[in-house]
Amino acid sequence: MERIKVENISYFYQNKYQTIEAVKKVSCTFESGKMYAVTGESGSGKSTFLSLLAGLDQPGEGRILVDGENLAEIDRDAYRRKQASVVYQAFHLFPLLTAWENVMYPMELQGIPRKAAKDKAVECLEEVGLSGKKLMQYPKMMSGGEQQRVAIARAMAAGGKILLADEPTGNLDSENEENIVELLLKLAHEKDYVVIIVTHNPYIAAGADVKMRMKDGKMISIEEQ
Amino acid sequence: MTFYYSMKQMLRSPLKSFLFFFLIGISAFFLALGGNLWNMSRTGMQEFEKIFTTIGTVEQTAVGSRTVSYWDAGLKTYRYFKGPVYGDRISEDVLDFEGADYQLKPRQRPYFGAYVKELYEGVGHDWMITVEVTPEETAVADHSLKMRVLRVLEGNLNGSDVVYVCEHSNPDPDEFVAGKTYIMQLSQIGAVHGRPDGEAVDEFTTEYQITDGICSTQYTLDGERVYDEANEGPVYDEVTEGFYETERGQRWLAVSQEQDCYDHTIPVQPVDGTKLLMPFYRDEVVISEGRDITEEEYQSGKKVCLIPDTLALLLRKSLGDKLTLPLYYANYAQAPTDTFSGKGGGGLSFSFLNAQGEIYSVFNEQDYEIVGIYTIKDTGTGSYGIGRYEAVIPWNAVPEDSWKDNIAAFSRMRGATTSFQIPNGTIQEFMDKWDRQGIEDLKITFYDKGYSQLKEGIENRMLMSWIFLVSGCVMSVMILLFFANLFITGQQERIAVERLLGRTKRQCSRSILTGILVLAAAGSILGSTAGWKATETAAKKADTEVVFDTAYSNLITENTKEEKVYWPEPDPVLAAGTGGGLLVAALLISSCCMKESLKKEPLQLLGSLEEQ
Repeated sequence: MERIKVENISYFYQNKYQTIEAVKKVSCTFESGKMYAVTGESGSGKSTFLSLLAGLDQPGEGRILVDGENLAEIDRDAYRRKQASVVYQAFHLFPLLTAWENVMYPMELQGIPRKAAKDKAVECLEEVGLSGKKLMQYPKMMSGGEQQRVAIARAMAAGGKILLADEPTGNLDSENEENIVELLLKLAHEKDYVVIIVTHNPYIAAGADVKMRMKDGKMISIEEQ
Repeated sequence: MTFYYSMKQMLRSPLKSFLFFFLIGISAFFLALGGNLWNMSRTGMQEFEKIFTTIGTVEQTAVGSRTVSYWDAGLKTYRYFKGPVYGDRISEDVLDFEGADYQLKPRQRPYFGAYVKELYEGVGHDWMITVEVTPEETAVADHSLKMRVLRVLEGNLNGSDVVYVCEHSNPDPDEFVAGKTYIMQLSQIGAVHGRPDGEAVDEFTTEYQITDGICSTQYTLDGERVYDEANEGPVYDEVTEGFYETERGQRWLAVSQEQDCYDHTIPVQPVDGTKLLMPFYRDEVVISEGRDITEEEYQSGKKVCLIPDTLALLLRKSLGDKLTLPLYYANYAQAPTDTFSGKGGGGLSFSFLNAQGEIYSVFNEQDYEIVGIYTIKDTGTGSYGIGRYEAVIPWNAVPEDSWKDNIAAFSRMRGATTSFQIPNGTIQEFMDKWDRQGIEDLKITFYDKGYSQLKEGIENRMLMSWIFLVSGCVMSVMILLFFANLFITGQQERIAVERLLGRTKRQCSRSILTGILVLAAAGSILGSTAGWKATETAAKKADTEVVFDTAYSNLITENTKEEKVYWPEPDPVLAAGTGGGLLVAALLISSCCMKESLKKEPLQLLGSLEEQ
């Protein structure tokens, strides 16, 4: 089922000296139950493209439709709260909250009662392979792989079925990298998530259902695998 | 939820949070302490302004001294006394110089004599006795000359009494002829000095001296003596047939009313402010019933007065009653107590006769409402004391200079008759300006009840409170800036993640600021409460009761008293205000930092974090 439709979007970075077109007239669609890998060299515009999909900013031209609604016309904060979650290479967890609390956080933002949020957080963390004492640990006490699992668990806990990941394995060793990719594929195939991963890791790209390639801000290829 | 997570994250960096809380508490402590001290000093100063009055008295000083001789008939020789010599009379106008900031201008005040018939009913005195006498022998009265009283015009003597009369101070007395009748004014002078032949007169018989009651002492407003030829002639007269129909005889009849005048006169002091009178200023007399004359009443010249309780009792007057004051002479030379001593007795150094030989006629008669009755605690010292039955009225109640033809005595400015009021704490400034006038022979003495010393103490306290206040403010701003930077600007990642998770800018602000403000509020409340309590304790321990000297100690060292002034209590509202102010500052500074941090879109925030 098509969830996201990108229509001819462009994005410009501007400063007082120059204007750089980071994304140039990109059009594509994303469906539920699939994992997409957006690849490209550094500076190709893939991370910017992902941020636009996350509603962190608006395209200068074109539009992004989520379930048929123009992202520019809806509350993008609410969109990120309820529908789309982002996982970054740098994890971006709250350093002063435990793993458990980090996962509970987006649920409480949605007004889910603390008890229910707690149970769901435990469930999500167990799903990504974390349990026991790990739940009470602060991010700094955890390995990179564990932190990224917490970040994914947090994305899952939010309840939205759009998961955007920007180089999610960039800071991980190969063993952890495999585990994370498996986890993301599982979410796409078993839980009907749209998983969009920005990466230049060929291993991840190879494992994705759809491989997309960007160059100089343009989407130069989209391959079903 | 916002509160829970905000506090949770604050408290998970306990050292930073405690330090923030502690430093905010210290700042609030200094602010509350400084604010309260400053407020107490300011309020105290305002209270003291109401209590304290600074007055100056002016006295023309002697330019030198000279030896004065008096003939002593008893010793048959001159006696010499050293007396002061004063230069030309200095007018009060010299005190009206540029830069002189008076609250009440200097004025050489006369006091008025008011004739009150009900005041005295007695048999007369043994001084200022006016009698017709005849000598028992023809002789010069350079010794105790025996005379028989033929007629008593006034005084405590009876017809046919024998008196011993001596022209005690006259080195060249005339001869009295036996069988002739003379009229004279006599006063007792103490023990008999005996006859030249050594024959003792009756023991315990006192001697009378002929006094100059027939001479006028009238002056003009400019201080010039009004010419009276009686001053150049003899001070007694021979009484012959038809004598009392003559001008001289009429004058003697007037002289015979002088005791009556003295006995029925109450001194009336016109003044611009009650505190200009030393007995009131020094609280030697206190208003025991009613109130003081108000500033407005003084200015408008309302017909109101203050009288002593003794006079009220004597005249059966009470508050609100009217007192008629027929004013008939003005005296610039003496203070009321010099003539009508509050201690009893007194002395007359002027005459009730004008230059025409008549008793002064009433120049102003008005009814005055009694608004205050005062009680004399202490009759004071010398001319600065309170006069017997002295009434106080506003200067403006009597038309200016209406007494110009009734001036019975005049003299230089004296401390007891010339005073003014200046703002508290300006003595030095006044004296600096006065010194530049270069006028000598005027001595200005200030009385401020120790205000100058007290003010210095308060100013030191205010300076100290300012130091606390300023250091509290500077400390607060620095602490707030530092911690705002630490808790807000340094929390870019947290802000970015919160935005990423879909929090709006407002929610994000609340999340970050709640913890900071809760800690700031707790610190402020505790600090300001501690500051308030510390001020209270310090105030109680140090000088809740301030005891100070009543004189401006640089000038006066005698006759001082102690008075007490109480400091105001520290104000809890002010302490709460300083704490509240600190909290508002925390809100403003952290909000500004927060606004700055939220200016970046999440994409930019994350971008910059990724780069790091």
